[in-house]
Parts: sequence; structure tokens; C-alpha cells
Amino acid sequence: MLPHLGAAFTLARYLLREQADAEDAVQEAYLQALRYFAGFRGENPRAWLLTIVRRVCYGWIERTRRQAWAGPEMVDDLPGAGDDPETAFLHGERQEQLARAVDALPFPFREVIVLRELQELSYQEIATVTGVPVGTVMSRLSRARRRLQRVLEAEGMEG
Amino acid sequence: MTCEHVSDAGLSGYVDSELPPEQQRWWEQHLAQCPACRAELARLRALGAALKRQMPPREPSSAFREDLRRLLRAEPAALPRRRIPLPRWGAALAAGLVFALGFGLGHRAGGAGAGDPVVDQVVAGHVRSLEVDHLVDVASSEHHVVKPWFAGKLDFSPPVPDLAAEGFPLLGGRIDYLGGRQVAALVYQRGPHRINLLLWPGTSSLRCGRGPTVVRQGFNLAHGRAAGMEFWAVSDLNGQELQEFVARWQHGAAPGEEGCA
Repeated sequence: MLPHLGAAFTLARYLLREQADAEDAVQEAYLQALRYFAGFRGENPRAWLLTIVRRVCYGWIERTRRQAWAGPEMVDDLPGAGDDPETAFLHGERQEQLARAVDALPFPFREVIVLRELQELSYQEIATVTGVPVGTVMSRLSRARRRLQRVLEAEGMEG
Repeated sequence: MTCEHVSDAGLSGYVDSELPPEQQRWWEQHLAQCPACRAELARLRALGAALKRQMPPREPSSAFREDLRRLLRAEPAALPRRRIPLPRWGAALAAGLVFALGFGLGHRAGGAGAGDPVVDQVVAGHVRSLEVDHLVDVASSEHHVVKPWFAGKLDFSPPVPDLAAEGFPLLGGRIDYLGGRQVAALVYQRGPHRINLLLWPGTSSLRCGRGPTVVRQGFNLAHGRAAGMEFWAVSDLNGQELQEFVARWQHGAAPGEEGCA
């Protein structure tokens, strides 16, 4: 009865890291979806819904960040960037290394990884959801992947 | 051995098959002769597989699912209560919201429906069907032919009343899109005028009813409900005759139903 809920929740869960936060964000997103449906003209309800989920998550992180530090922030300083492997480890000790590495990625990198690698959206769809040009999607994805590969190699998981 | 292209974002695009054809071909040729980039390609693929393995889809708790369902139902723009197969849900949400919009229309004073994107979509669908010579996918004045045609193409079976005796012969039907969902489009005729009637399932508890005529871009539109369906009728027919058409269609679609008779 609530399809796309899996996709919506997976995105929120990996963006916000916490089950409870993800549930709150998804609830807010569905309420917004219901209210703002009038503005929807496309034929891709899933991408449209994920756009709203992503926006709610981003707002959530922004609010939390402002409460924590108060001040403008560069892309690479978004939450997660400062998490060293140890912090990330404490953060989710049951998670595997790679998942922790994704957790530690700055938001703009984390979201493209989740949307592409886990949810298999096209670059065009990711561009729509994240509100950046397709070229930016590709370069962020490339940079995010290289960061993750470095983590893998440092931890000796892969050749 | 190393290569300047190893760290090229284009390689990511290549793995995802997202590059324009000529760039995709360039990478194919380059990879054929560059071991360093081939190794990088293998690592990218391994990374993708490892990510999928270690980061499975997440599920909310069933308690949360229930809460969310209840919450959405309590909202003014309630979701349809009828059981809907999962993959169709986006469409169902759309239908529920279109219903909410359409319902609000009747309460709006003055320029009824002004600024309502659904009205724009209905008009656009009507104009498109006339312009591109794509009025019908199944051309038949026989409702016995048109109704079964929809079976297997839609997840619902639209009523197709025969209104020829009332002066509105059926021209045929087609599948159209409204608010992101598939809807059935029935095409009727009145003299030189074409009438598009777009319909989709509403909630089963819906009563028969119809809204006032809305004027948009010189077309007349009317919204209504009958036989558990939501619909929009649009035409260049005058408002009075369009309302007559709607009343007859409702009567034909849901004979005996209160408000439709």
C-alpha cells in the first residue's frame, strides 16, 4: 500500500544514518508529497518522491549542523567529513568497513553513492533529485568512488 | 604502469553506461589498450558489487509503516482506501491527490480551478489528442469492443457506456497519463465536437457527483465521480451540453447509483 517506501527509507537511512531520524524524515517527506502533489508534472513518481526525501534529509542535516556549530560550511565540511575512521567505527560498530566509509563521506558524495550504487537511478534522475547538473553528478560519483576505494585499499579489503 | 585517464570521471560514466555513444566508444578503444585503466575499471566494478553487498536496502519498522499509513489517511488529501498492488502505488497516490484537487475545485469561488495544474494537464491531453492525430488507440463505436481493449492495459476496467442514442456516439479509447498515472481516455463525439473523458479509479466509498464547468484556454471541463471512478471531461463543446454529456455518462456508467440517476 505504500510502495516506494523502501526506496524512500533506504535513502533517508543512509543519508541520516539513524533509524529513528530516517523514520521521522520519511514521514515528513510523505506528508509533503501529499501536500505538494499539485506541483508534480513528471511521469516518474519514484524520482519525485526521492527528491522530497532528499530535501527533507538535507534540511535535517543543515538544522543539526547549525545547532552544533553555527556557521557556513563548505561542501567537504558537511557532516561526515570530519568523522575519522575511529569515530565512524564507534558510530556503527556492527556495520562493515565499506558501509562505514560511506557513512563518513560528505553529504554530496554520500547521496550520489546511495542513489546510484544502491538505488540504480540514472544520472539524469540523480541530477533531478539532487538539483545539480548531470556533469556534476558524474564527477561527484567519480570522486566518491575513488575515496571509497582508498578506504578499501587502506584496510586491505581489496587488491 | 600508469595512465592519466585512470582518475578521469569519464571512466565512472563508462562503468554506468551513461556517456554519449562516441565517448563510450572512445573508452572501449582506450580500455582495449590500457592495462592501468582496465585495472581501474575492475576496481570500480568490484566496489559497486561490494557496496550492494554491504549496504542492503533498509526497511522501516512495521510499527512505523502502520503509523505512516494511518497518518496519511487522516490527512485531508487521503490516500485511496482500495487495495492497490504495490508497484502501482505511485499512481495511486497520484490518483488520491488528483481526487483531492478535483474535490477542492467545486468549493473554489469565481475562477474555478484557476491555477490548478491538473486542469492544465487535462487540457494539454485533450489538445495533444486532437493535434497529433492520436485521438484513439482503439477506434470503435462499439462499447463491447472498447471496454475489453482496456483489459490488460490498465489495472482497472473503466465503464464504457453507450451514449449514441443520446446523441454522443463513441469514437474509441486510448491510454493517457494524468498526474503521473495511467488513465483511460474515452472519446465521444457531438456534431463536430470531440469530448475526451479521462478516468481512473477513485475510492470505493465515493458518491456520484460532478463539479461546475471550468473554462481553460477556451475549452470547457467538468470533473465528476461515478461507479467508483474519478473523471475529467474536456471539450470545445459549450458548457451546458458538456454538463448534459457528463450527466448522461454518469447515468450510463452507474445506473441507479444515488446522484447519478
